[in-house]
Amino acid sequence: MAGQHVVIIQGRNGEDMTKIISLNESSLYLWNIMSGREFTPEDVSAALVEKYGISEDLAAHDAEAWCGKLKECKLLAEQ
Amino acid sequence: MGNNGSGTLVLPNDIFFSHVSESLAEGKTVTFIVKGYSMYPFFRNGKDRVCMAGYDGRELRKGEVILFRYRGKYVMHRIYGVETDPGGTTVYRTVGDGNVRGRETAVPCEIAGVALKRLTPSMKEWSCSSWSWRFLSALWMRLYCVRRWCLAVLRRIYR
Repeated sequence: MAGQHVVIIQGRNGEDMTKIISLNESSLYLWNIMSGREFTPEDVSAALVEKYGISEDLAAHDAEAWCGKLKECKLLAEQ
Repeated sequence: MGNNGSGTLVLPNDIFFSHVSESLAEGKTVTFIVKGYSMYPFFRNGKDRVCMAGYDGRELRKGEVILFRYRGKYVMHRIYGVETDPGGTTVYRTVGDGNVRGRETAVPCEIAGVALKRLTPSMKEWSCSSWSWRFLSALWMRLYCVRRWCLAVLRRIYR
């Protein structure tokens, strides 16, 4: 939408356009490979290292941040 | 697309509603926050949400709230009259609940959706097919000639 990749939440009242989540490029990459399956922050971190060649420390930090954001937006269920 | 600084994306109306009408056409229901004062007091600007279903081509009734294209923009207003033009097409006459002037017309092919219910910020639901909604809608349309004063009073007590 408008040249951005967004997540639209399906709520009880259909598409909830009051909570549209915009994804940047790296976030979209993670979303595409992780959505619909179970994963750990380590999986996310490994995916970032593989794709962007960044250090493991930085990737772990970014993975935590990404998972945190998803949880905040209630897009991630923790087990 | 703008970002207002608090992390909230503000989408241009045409982009937003083209997505909304696409989803409605696919048979999905869509919920969004109502912007503007033209449907006050039934929908308060920036507060109340409307849950809409796609328009399936059925004959609509007076009092129903519809989303339609009008002069290149999307408008959500209430039907106050149903007519048939000489060609046999149904023409809906509409007016905003919060408007004391300005009326529109909509033909079925321009209608994207029909309001199903209103949700308040506390997510309290008010169905547009409920007795109370229909009664108050009919009353509000009846009071059209004194609407200006009704609005002036309501704006002080119902925000």
